[in-house]
Amino acid sequence: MKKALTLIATAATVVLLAACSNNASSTSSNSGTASTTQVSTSGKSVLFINASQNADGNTAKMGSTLLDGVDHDTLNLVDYRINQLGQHFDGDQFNDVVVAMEKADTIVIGTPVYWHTMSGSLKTLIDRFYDLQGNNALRGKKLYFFMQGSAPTEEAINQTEFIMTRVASQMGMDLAGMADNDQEITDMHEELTK
Amino acid sequence: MSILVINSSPNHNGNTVRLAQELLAGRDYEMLHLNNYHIAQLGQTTPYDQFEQVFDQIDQADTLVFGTPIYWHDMTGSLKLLIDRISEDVDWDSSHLAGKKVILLAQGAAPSATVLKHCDFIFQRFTSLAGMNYLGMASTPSDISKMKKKAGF
Repeated sequence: MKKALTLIATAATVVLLAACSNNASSTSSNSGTASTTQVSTSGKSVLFINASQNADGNTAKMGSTLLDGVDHDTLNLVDYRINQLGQHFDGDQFNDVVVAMEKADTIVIGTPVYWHTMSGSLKTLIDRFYDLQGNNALRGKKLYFFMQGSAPTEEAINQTEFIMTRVASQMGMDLAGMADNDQEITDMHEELTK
Repeated sequence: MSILVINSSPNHNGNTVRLAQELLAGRDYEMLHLNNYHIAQLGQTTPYDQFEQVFDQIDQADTLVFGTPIYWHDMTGSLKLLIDRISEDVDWDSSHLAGKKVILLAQGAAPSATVLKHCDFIFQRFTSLAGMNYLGMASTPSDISKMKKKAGF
């Protein structure tokens, strides 16, 4: 079955490429169509970014439930050293994270709730997105977001989700879903696997 | 009574610092620019971490003035990181956090009331658990003059 889907995807890509080649100016640099023409023969690639300090804690577990049966790569932010916005210390690995995000079609970001909002680690990453303004690195990516915490307050959920909505909109990402409890994770899992 | 300003803006002469200067006009104070320090994220064990250096200065001051620009409708990543680290890596009982006066300065290009309220809320929770005396948040010149009176500056 998977092979058949791959063949269909390949055929679709060929058709799209053919369509593009008829057009003298390729649209590959056009952000609006980039996500369509980038359909690869290997299918959609999914990247899970875990913004917890624990590579195998509750956020990772929630991510595993969400991505059960979905082929994906995991990036643990704790493994990366990311300068704060405006810092120019040697050893900054922000670009490594961006490259991993660029390679993915779908990005899933999961964060624990610390002090009624996302982890400092995720906020650090997001602040650095200001450095990407004017380039289309993340444009057209599908984004899913979830927060994990022991009964986060309504206010914490609303404010954090509002931030992610703004981030997605500014970066041109397609925010496909947000979850903050087990039921919503189950729903999101269905959406991801359908 | 020593006063420490903790500036979490990358800009050392920007609006956040100006707000602090206005609040503290005529007072002696120290200024700590967070962006001059490498601070590792929670869970990272790295040789470059300078959290202790920053925390020592915090621990020695009587009054703490935290300053943040609003980025993405929230406090900066560097300030959020500092709070995460203080809450996980400091033994609050053996530190001198309890009783310190704390003021938050948060400013941006027309931040919404909801955004400011959320930053204020996080500071209320954080300072209350640490036993600190939170005087509140200021983000406009009129807030600053009220805060001056409240803090006795």
